[in-house]
Amino acid sequence: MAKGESPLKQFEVQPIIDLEMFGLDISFTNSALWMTITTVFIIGFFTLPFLKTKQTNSVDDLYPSRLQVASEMGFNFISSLINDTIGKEGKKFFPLVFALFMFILFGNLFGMVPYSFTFTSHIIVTLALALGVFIFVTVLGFIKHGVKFFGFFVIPGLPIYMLPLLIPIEVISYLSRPISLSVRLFANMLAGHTLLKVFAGFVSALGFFGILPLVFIIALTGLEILIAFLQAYVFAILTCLYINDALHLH
Amino acid sequence: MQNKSENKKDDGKNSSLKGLSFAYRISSELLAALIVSVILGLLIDKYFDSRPIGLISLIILGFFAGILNIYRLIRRIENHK
Repeated sequence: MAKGESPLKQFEVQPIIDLEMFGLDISFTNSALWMTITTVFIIGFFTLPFLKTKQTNSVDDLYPSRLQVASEMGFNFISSLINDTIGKEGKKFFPLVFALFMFILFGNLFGMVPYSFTFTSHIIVTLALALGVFIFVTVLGFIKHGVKFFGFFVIPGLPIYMLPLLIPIEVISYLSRPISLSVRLFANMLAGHTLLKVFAGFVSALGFFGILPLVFIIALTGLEILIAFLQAYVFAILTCLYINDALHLH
Repeated sequence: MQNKSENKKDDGKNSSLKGLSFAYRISSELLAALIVSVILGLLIDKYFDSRPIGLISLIILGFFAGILNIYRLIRRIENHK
């Protein structure tokens, strides 16, 4: 990090190719670049191992390649997650949860590469993902239950005189879902990357004793990779829980 | 029978992961409910011109909603055990 550079500079969105359409600025930014890289990587990661180029007719054909085992592990992880939280009905929603999980996971992990850009550290990206889940779940609830979906806001077995107080609370609790989903992911990525940059600034400022923050950064990088995985996991498991709520109401 | 033992093994492997994910969720649930209630309160004040009343009452409701969220989350943790 150059001297005097802000630790927040890494989050700046810079246009790479300037584009304008209908008076809107739709420039191809570094954020968009890393989203494209992530998407292309995920597609490659899950298709390349299954494109067998040649048959050697030896024992090697029977063994899956390492890449194939890795991608199947990701597949199984989400598959068992859906089975645990939604059950058999959840199979339909596998593509949604899987795509969300992989996009966030690899977005976070690519953000850990030096000089890259972490698009999940922008609230507009995470809020868009969370609102997508929220709208999908609400529409799903209405399709499945019709008007009865409003019964979701009424706790069964409650005296009627409590309803005027508890329905607003339930509505706020329901509306807070996309906010809590997006703020959690965004805040964790923003705080982690800022912390790394601040401690990286100490390394050059302290001279010889800079070795201490350097050791700390190594430990912190490991923690950040754990958080990158954990936040993607939380996003996926909450998507599953919300779908489950919409399907079964209480 | 075989299925059950498989599930148990899975739980042991993922239990620390699940515990951490619950810890991250508890803090954000309260915050999110408060953010939503403040936004709603300001909107109500803007449309009904009732400047502090909507905000104050919605913040109180939002705090209740946050506590309710956390209560549900903790009950879910208890069920997992």
